[in-house]
Amino acid sequence: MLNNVLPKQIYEAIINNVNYKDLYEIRFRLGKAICVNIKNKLKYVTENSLSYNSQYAIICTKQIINSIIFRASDQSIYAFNEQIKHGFITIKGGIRIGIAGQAVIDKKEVKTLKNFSSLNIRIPHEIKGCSNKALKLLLQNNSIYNTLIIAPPGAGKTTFLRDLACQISNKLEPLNLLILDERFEIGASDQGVCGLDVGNFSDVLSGIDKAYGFESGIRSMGPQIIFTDELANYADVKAIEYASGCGVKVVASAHGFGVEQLKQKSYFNKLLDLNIFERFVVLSVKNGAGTYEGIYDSNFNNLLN
Amino acid sequence: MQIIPYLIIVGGFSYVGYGIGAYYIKRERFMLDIIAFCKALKVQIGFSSNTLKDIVENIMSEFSPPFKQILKSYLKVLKKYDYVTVNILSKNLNNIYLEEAENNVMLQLFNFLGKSDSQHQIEAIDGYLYSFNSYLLQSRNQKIKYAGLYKKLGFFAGVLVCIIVM
Repeated sequence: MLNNVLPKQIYEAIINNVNYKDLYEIRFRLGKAICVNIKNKLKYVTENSLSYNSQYAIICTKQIINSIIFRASDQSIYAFNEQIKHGFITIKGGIRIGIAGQAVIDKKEVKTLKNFSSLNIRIPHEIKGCSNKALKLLLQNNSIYNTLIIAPPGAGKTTFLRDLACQISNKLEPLNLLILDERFEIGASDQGVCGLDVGNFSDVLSGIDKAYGFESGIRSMGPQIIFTDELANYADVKAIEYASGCGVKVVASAHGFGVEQLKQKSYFNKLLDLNIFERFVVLSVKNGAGTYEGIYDSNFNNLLN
Repeated sequence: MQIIPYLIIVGGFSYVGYGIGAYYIKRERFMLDIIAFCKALKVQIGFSSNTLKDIVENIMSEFSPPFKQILKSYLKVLKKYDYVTVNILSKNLNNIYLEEAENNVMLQLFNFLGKSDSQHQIEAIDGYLYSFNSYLLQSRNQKIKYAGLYKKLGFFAGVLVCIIVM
């Protein structure tokens, strides 16, 4: 998949010198050295290899950035504008290309991005069984507690969420799962086919915002559990509240370092006041992505102790 | 039997005249195809947000052979190059029906496609449509003026040559 978007020289320098499953990110910053994150260690891309030394690194040009975006959007930026204006494009295999540039604003609304200046290509990883440790603490009879997964970027929220959906789908009596995959990262859906395993009883609704997805998904697919990634604003909190009111269990994720830090965000305070979430799984990168910091109940007692 | 060479001469000249006349008919058809293509692009980009490759592949069969060839070449360019430029397009999209200025406008259109959001794309396509509509009028006038003229000229030139030879 990466070969479809990266310039040949850069692709070969990376893929010939690193094990794909160890590759986390590739960073492009205009006028700066192109670098890769390999298991949270930084290396620079040189003409035909990777190096810890930036001296021989390939310098990112506007042409490189434009060609990556052009190829990622299948030469049709307009077709991906909804994603681009939210700062990303997701390509086959759930690979997310984060984009920074200049926002074009019209009537206080971001219309698109232009003058692209940085790209962050994030490689998704399927780690079977990474949610095993948490699973038994999250199950409730033949269902699951409303669960919020909290972790900083790159700590494995989406990988955990995907594996949890897979485990529940395979281990519990058939439950209908709905995965609201706003950024195409959980199921890596391409033309309706999931590129990553999300279990046998999961329906995936991709590219849809949570407010609309929760409402239409509950009506149309009748799920017992909804999985969704990256709660980020009041509208998302409202959507969770709606689902909870409909008797649907919710497993969601959010950026943060812990429950205490989340409380500093006003929209999460509202969410916590509603007492919807019964379990909080906190992950970090302390011992590598997916390190368990704690699994908390609704009274914030750490169940791992 | 002596009449056969004269018939061949008249036929040959008429054929050349017909060919030149047909050029103007095909030129008008080419303009109509570009305009139809722009209109299809507006719909497809604005409503279905299909990618350029899908759009071109889906509608290619609806056009006359000269413009179909342009679209085939454009598709090859999209598949081959990381980033489309006017330079690349000018080397790959060749036709005999457009004058230099018209051809440049067509290359600008193809170069612009896919490089911005749908609103911007549609607004720009409207601008190109305006240009192509004026070229269409021009080509239509040329067709009225020259298509029949060259056919007749070919025939009469053939007859004239026959008279001189006789």
